[in-house]
Amino acid sequence: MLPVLLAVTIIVFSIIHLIPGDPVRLALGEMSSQQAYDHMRAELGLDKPLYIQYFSFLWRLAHLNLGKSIIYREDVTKLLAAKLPNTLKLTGSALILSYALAIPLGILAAVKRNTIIDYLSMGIAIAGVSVPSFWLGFLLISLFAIHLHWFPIAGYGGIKYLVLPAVTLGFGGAAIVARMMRSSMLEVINKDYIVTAKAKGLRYWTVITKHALRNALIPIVTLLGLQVGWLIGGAVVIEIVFLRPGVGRLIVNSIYMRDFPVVQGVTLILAVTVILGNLLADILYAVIDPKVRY
Amino acid sequence: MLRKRSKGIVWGIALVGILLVFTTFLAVAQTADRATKEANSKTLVVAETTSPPTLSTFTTTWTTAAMRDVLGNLVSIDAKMNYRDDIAQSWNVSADGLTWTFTLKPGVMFTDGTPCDAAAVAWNIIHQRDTGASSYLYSAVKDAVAVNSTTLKLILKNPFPNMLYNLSNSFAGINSPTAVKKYGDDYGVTALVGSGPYIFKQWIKGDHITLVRNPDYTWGPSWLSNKGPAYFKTVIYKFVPEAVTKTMLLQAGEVDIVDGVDPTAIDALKADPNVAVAMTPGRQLIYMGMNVTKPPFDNLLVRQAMNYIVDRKAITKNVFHDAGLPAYNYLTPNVQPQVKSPYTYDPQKASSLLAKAGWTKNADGILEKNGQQFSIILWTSSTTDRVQVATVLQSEMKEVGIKASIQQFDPGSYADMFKTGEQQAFIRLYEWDNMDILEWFFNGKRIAKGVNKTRINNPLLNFLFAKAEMQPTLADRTFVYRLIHEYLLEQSPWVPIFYPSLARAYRSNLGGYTATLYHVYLVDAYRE
Repeated sequence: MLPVLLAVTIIVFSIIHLIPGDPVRLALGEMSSQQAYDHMRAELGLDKPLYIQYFSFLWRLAHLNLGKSIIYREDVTKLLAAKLPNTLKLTGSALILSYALAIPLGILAAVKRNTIIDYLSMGIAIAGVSVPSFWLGFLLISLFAIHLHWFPIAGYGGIKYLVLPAVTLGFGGAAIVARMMRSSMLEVINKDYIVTAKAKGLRYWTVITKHALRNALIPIVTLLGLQVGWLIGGAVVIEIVFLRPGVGRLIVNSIYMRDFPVVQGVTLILAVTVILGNLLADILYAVIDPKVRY
Repeated sequence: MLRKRSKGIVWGIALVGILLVFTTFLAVAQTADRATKEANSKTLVVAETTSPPTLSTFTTTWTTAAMRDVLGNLVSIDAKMNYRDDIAQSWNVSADGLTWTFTLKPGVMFTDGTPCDAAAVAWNIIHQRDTGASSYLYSAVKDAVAVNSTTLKLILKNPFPNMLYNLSNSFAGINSPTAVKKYGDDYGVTALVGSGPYIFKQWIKGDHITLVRNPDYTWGPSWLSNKGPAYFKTVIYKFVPEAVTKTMLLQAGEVDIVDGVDPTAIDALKADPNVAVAMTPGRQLIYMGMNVTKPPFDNLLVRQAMNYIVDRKAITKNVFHDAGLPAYNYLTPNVQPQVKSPYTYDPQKASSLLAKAGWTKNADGILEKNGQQFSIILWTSSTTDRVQVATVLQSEMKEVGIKASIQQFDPGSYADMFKTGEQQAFIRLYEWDNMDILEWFFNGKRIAKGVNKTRINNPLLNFLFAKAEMQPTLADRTFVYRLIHEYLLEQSPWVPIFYPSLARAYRSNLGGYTATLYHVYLVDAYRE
């Protein structure tokens, strides 16, 4: 994990410093005085050589200090503490929602292969993959918030503020999982041990849920690790559309404004989240498949 | 005689009585009216597009409406663009233009309990001049002297008739010196203290700013209807970057005012009976700039030809849905001195100017000169409307034989790219409403910082800019700027394209909506 994180810091630090854009000029505004500009550069240590800036960043990181935002003038840790829970709530709900929707849909499509149910399920899945999330978001707002008044349009607060963004984000994810579930299930239900189980006279749905599902779930679990990263990426757009103050909105603004400490801090935290997602997937492997041992 | 006299006394007493009853009635009615308005007006939500980096006028030149509500200025500008009172009651300028004397309203207090007197205002001016991000506002100020608590004298190095504009500017808000010193680096982040109608309560970065009513505010500009504290108890400035979300929130009644309505949403909002749309000429200009030091735009005839290529009316209609005006001048419509531009949409005239400059069409219909094709790179930020304008320009240039390729930059990179001097042609937007913007963009001394993006360094222009800054009266200054403006049109470093309108929308149940070019004054606003 540490080498990966170190690599992430080097890559992000290099990229953000290589692309054009002066955070101090962006923070102060084009019309700001040279005096204020020089003062701020010195204050933030941006007048020092790049390698010194990088090692200062690592040194602070070792002390769990992600530095101070150039734009917001606040500790990055404090900014993250305020925004990360919102993003985790959104991506967590979207992840649960996508799996809860996709697994039954995938199973149903596989079991009822080449029937109207299969075509309908996979049609929904294709729509989920193809529809841009911001468009789906506006569509859901229009229907459920403006016309039916079931949910608020945007903002954050209780669970009612979470439903539409989570559905929007989870829908795309569900589509991928459902398609994967279907193909995985189709592969398993044609295997000899499933035929044997059926021949032994076991009930059809018992065969599917007790014998086939366990093995069909393995590729789905692999997908879990990837889904975490995908959902965090998707949260950027969803947070803008639904006005959720999460790290997605924070990182977009920070990239635009070249707020180096925030971009570095957020990327690092997101990298940790994705690594943890993959770790969770590895643990789940062992739970599902007893043959897997670490 | 005596009877007549006593009759007069009786009438006099009766008259005084009637007047007393009338005044009492008026006072009761006013109190009742205020009480009703206050009772109906709990929270007002205003949607803005961008969240500022900090709220301190000393550390950034970005501003947000909330800052004006909290701080207050020495001078205000009313809806008719006249300079009016705010913290200052009146002012006068000496005959030589070197001393401005301001008489401040007595009893004005900052919300931290310290007086907003002449000494506090003087401190703000000197602090901004010496260390502030907007020090240019007061670069002409030699000294600011508090003669007494309500008299402030500004002693200038040179006559500066633009002083009232600078003092009424959003960057010139008056902060509590005590609070600035107390909070240090956190000032503008966790605290903001002024003498305005609202008190800063909370700022959730990138999301919203919450303000609460200043109950002591009785010194607002005289041109506002409400002479007392604001009616709304709480004001929330919500930052909504997505234009569609902003429109939806307004239509659903979740926000009350939208500042900066997207042109594509205007028709839908006008059709909504619960929403009112207010459109006025704005303070922005979208233009195409040309680097006058690089071929092919180092040739005057080519630059002039570019001004005939652009069909501004078509861009106004098709890209901006008529939410603004086609632009021919370098200054926005509210700003003097306006001059008549010689340019119209005339591709034939453009072709003849290009031919005069030595460019002839080859077999492929592309212009050529000395074996070199007329091929340029057109820079633009990745902002949607700017990219659309660039695409239209690309096709209009193609019609006369110019090959233009578009290069997009994210807003963060874009400003920095101009320091390299690599630009040929570029689409930009500026927002300002004073003639001094010409000096900002075309003075040769601003090339190195990347502010003078056309890299024009013309001795005559530089001389005129210096002259304009020394003029004793506004009329004299305007005269010099008229010469500058005319000369710039002739030199054509820019192709002005479009003036976006200032479009605001608000819920129809909002009474007392009072707005100027710069600000929606929330003091008058109440819920009906």
